[in-house]
Amino acid sequence: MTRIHLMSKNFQRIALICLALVLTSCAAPLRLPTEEGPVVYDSQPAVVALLSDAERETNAGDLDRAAAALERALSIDPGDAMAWHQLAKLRLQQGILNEAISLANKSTQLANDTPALQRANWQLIADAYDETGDTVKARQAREKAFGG
Amino acid sequence: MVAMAVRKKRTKSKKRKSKNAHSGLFRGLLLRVFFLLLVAAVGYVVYLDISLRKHFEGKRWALPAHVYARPFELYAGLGLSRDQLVAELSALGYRLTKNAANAGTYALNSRTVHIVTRAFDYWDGRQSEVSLEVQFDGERVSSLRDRNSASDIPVLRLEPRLISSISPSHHEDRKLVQLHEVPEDLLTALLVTEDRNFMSHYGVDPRGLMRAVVANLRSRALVQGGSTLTQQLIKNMYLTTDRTLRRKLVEMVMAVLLELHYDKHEILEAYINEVFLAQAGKRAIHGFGLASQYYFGRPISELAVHESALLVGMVKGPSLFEPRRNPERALKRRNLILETMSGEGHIDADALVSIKQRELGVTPRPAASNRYPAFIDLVRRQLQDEYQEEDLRAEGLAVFTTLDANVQAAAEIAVKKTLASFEQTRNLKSGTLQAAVVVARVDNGEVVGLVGGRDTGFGGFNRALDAARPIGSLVKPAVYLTALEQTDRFALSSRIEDAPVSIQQQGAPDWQPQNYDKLFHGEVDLLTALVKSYNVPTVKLGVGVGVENVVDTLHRLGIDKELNPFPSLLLGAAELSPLEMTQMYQTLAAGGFRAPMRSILSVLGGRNEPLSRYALSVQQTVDPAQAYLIAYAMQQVVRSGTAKGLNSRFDAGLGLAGKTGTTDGYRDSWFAGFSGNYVAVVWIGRDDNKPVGLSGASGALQIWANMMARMDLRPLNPIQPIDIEWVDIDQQNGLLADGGCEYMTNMPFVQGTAPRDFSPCAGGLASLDGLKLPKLDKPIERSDIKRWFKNLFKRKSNGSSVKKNNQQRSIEDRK
Repeated sequence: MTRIHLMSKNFQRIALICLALVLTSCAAPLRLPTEEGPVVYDSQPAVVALLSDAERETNAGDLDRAAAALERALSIDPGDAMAWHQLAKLRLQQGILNEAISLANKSTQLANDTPALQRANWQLIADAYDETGDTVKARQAREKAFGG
Repeated sequence: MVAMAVRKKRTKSKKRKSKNAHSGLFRGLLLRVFFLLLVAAVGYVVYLDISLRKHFEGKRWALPAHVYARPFELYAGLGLSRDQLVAELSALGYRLTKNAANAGTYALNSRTVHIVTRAFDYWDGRQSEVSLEVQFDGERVSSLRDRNSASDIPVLRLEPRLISSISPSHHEDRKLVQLHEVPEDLLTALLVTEDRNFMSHYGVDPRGLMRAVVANLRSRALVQGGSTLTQQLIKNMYLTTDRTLRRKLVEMVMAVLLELHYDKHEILEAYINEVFLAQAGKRAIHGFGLASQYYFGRPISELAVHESALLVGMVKGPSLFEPRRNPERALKRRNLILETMSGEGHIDADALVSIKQRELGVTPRPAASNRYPAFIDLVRRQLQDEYQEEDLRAEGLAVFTTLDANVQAAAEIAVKKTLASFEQTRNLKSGTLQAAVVVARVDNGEVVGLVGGRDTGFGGFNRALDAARPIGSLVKPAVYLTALEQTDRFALSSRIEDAPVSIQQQGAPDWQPQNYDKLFHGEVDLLTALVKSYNVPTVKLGVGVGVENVVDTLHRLGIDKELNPFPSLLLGAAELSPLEMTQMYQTLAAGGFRAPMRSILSVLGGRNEPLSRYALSVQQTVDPAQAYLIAYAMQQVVRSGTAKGLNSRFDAGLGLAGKTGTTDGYRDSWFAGFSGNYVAVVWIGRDDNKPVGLSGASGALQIWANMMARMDLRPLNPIQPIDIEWVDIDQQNGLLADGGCEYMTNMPFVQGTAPRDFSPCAGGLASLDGLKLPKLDKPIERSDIKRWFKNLFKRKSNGSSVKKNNQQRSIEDRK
């Protein structure tokens, strides 16, 4: 089994915002998990290869190709929570918010053994709700992300 | 001879001239006519030139869309035996060789297979040829290595099977090839046979023509054409086939014009793609590229010299030398071509002897170009949103679909064999039963197999998509799901009275639903009612939760069609297709995550440019906790309910889930079920809607079982959502049970919805007759301290909501 490392950009973003809030008002509503490192998830090698293809395509700005690689990964292992998470992330990037939320929920379902990935999904869901303007659901999701 | 004739003509005309010298008027007229004719001729030639160039430079052919199955993904860890891989390779036309040196070949060793894959253009780019070593560990691929770089390959696609061509209306099918793909031998054979001076002439070949004239004069018939390849191309591309002198003249002029504008390579390439080589039913096979696939099942680049010679020999008479029908004649013709090649020094004499010994090597007649008309029907309907019919027929698109040829084969065989055996054992007239099947992948909704009727090779009425039939008990999971979603009222252990009931309906007489076995079963829990598919409790439950809520559930599960919220819907009066049912069960199988049924992955344009991609789309429409409860109940249907017949066929460890459906008078027999990876729906009925005498279990379930038994199934282990807990229940009353209870069962509940009161067998305080529910909100008092503590903990763990027991009031209260 190969291990994949996921540095959540969303997490970084939230961390920065929160840090800014702490510095400015000392009233950050959320508890920051300080030792939360990269998410580690066991995927089979074929899936790992396709996820890294997808990452490369994403970095090159070709989100459709990235999605195609992720879908291939999912057709090989539909139980891979990391692949679902990455697809959710991609949909968020593409602005397909409802689907991003559904996909992140699917990933969360499958990631029972990986709380860090579940938290990354909740963060993602919170971001998606932020964009839809549903602040209540965004906050609920964020609480799950940070409440562990 | 020609020169003499001309000279004679001249002397004659001189005489005529002198005769008419006095008539200047006449001469002037003649000159004018001559001039006009000349202008007309030049004009005509210019016209020919323009139209010729316009056509040749534009899109020369209307190219059919080629439709492909899903490519086979190879990777370490894949459950695949060596034999299965070899079967796939031979379906793709790979040849078994000693060393696997060239693309499209493979070699077998004890635990490995060496393959040289073919390059292929996918939506996401070209995958080049790879020399591959596949290692097996029993029924599993243990490693994939690139033999050239000796490095591991994580994942690799084998090119997909071509499953259909959507041809132009004139049924010309072709697969364009470029000259560099064509083997040298084939070009040589073509030139020595059809046009030896091709590289040097200017479109017409006087020497060749002369030879033909002589031959024709000798036999006093048109036995030889003497046409150059250029002329043949002109004739095929632009002209009619009638053998008039005028056509011949135009052909020659155009041939010369073509040679003026284009080089030999371009002309040769056009010829190779144009030439007609076979007729397969309505479909005309044009070009050596497609002919190679049609006769040898392999790309043209992989042809050996004797195979090339066979195809070239067929140019002269595609029907006369058809190798499958006239093998002896074809062999003679092939060997004649080989001898000619040898005579010209292209094959040495020793080699010739052994080459001539080789067999024709043609594959058995391939199944019709459209092997899977019902599936392609679905593909075309889904393509219609984005593509015009004429684009499909002319633009040379490559359509990548989700079809899995092995699953499709399993479905087709199961339908044919099972129906035939039903007709035999039940003394039915052969051919009266019809069936339809849809198989999809659980998590992404990809349709992998589809059968539209028992005659799978024939298009016609596509029952999988178009037969709208009452769905019977297939609707029931939606009724129970709707109930379970009302968590403050229902859990799987909730009790319903199975007793006569009369339902009032607007504008219709009262309705007294009956159970399938015409019996009433007293008080039953929701789980039992669904597992045994009892009608009466289902109707009561559905009316209790609101038929309009059940309609909403059906829509969320993926039924787009408008549904009438009448009570009869609760027993499946809605008329829906097998495809719609598959959508519904996909959502249930995938834990509430609906993925629309799709048959297309992507489309490439004629120059392999990516055109469209059909992305995976997933929407969560049912809470995973309720989806989990329904999946559990459907597993019980197989374990102990109406589908328990599956137990003898499948390993219990697969945990299959399903639901039977039978409609009034046994007109429709349904079965819907899923494993961990596939969801499949089967329908059996008659086109004239007469009874078939089969229930869901005795009919559709049998096809389903025969099909799934041929497939590679993954066990169904629904992921338990975090808010699900398991609780021991006394089956006799739906109350909490413990070791002291005879009929104890362990059941899943959404947290906080399990009963809180103990059954008498577990020391509870239920009323004396044992079956009546405890009074609501009655405080539990018990001198037994142990029980008291136990109850206390149970209540705490269940969230201790006292409101809970309201839900246990059976819905009779609401009637």
